[in-house]
Amino acid sequence: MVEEADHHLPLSSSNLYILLALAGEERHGYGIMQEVVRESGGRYKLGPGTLYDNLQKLVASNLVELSGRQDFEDPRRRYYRLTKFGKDVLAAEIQRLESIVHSARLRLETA
Amino acid sequence: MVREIYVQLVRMHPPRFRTWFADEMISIYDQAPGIGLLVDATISLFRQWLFRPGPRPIMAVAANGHPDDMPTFWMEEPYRPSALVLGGGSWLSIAALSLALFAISHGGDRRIAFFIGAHRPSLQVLPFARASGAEAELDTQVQMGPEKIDPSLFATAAYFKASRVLRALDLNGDYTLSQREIRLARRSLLRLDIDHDGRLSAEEVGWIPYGGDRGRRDFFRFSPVLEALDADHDGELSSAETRGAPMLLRKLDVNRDGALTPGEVIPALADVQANLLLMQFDVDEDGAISVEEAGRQPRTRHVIKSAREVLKSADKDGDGKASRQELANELRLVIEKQSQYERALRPSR
Repeated sequence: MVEEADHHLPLSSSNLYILLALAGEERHGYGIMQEVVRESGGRYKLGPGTLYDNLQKLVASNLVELSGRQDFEDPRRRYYRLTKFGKDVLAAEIQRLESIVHSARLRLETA
Repeated sequence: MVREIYVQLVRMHPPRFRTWFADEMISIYDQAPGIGLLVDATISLFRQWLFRPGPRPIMAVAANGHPDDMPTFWMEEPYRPSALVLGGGSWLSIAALSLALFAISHGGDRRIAFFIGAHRPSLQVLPFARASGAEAELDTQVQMGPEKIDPSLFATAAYFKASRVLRALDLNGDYTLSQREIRLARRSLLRLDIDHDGRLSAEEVGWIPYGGDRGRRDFFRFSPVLEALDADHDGELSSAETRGAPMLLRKLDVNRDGALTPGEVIPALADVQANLLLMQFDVDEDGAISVEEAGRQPRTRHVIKSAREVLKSADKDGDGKASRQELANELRLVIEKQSQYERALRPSR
């Protein structure tokens, strides 16, 4: 199956933040929520319901997968990480955002 | 307690979601509990049932935690109807049921004519005419004679029809204010609010302007329901009084059965007569008649004499005045004596 990264663009804010949170390292759900708050400077908060709804879609789209890592502190936790395709999609999204920022700057300079 | 509610909300999610994420969601709650998570779980619950029909997620777990490994197993839930279809069907069913219940409970005041054997018969309970069997088939001929209708039912029906407030309150027309009708009293009363000012004037509840302010107050006094509703006795029902109508009406429930039967909302003859006496003689409107008040009225000598006799006999506490309650008690005795006398004169069968 040929998976086109562009097919998943643009990413919603929640999906973008989740993928960004998982870009550095694999995380469990609560870890993702905390990382999203940190990344957004507290402006964006994900509840567990929204987080897992998005994770469900991201897993189904093969952008995220379970890592299989065990958490001995709390065995209910499961860790998630980006798939290779997920990294591609995130990279494509960042490129898209960069081009928007670039074109916006150009317009502002000429205005 | 809040955690238990959260757990229940999570468990109500569709199995495809719950199987994978319930433990994790509860784990997050244990990590950082808060009321906000309840809201989040509630929204998630609706979202999953209504807007996430599938397909079921296929979860792959990579072997040894390496991204390039082949998945060691795949899981997929068994097929079942789409959640959107199930959710939509449920909402449609609930809507249809609600509509039917609404239609039943707001079907107007048309009475059902076939309440034969009802505990609270209305005038619509007509005698049941039934033909007897053919003589050739039966040894005994059975004929249903006309059933006797309690004459007090006619009085009850007439009173309810004459009272605008009772007509409004008695939604199903069975001449009894049920618990539900009492609960809905405010809404029923506000239907009489013609000028939509939130208050019910004496005219709006059926008073025909006569006798000025005194006539207005007397009008309220004659009806136990209106008297109970007009808590401040100012001759109109304020918005606070209509709001508190259920509570005020429950004060009339003497037998504490939760409903107001005709005996509790229709004044007894003695009460009516006591009110009539007060109307005529209670000049200072203190709710009692003194001997002087009775003597000052330009009535016929016979009336004054009778009134004085009643007043004298009624004044049990000896304060020189007969209150409404004292008058009503005395008149009740007079009526009972009169009734006994009439029964004694009636020829025995």
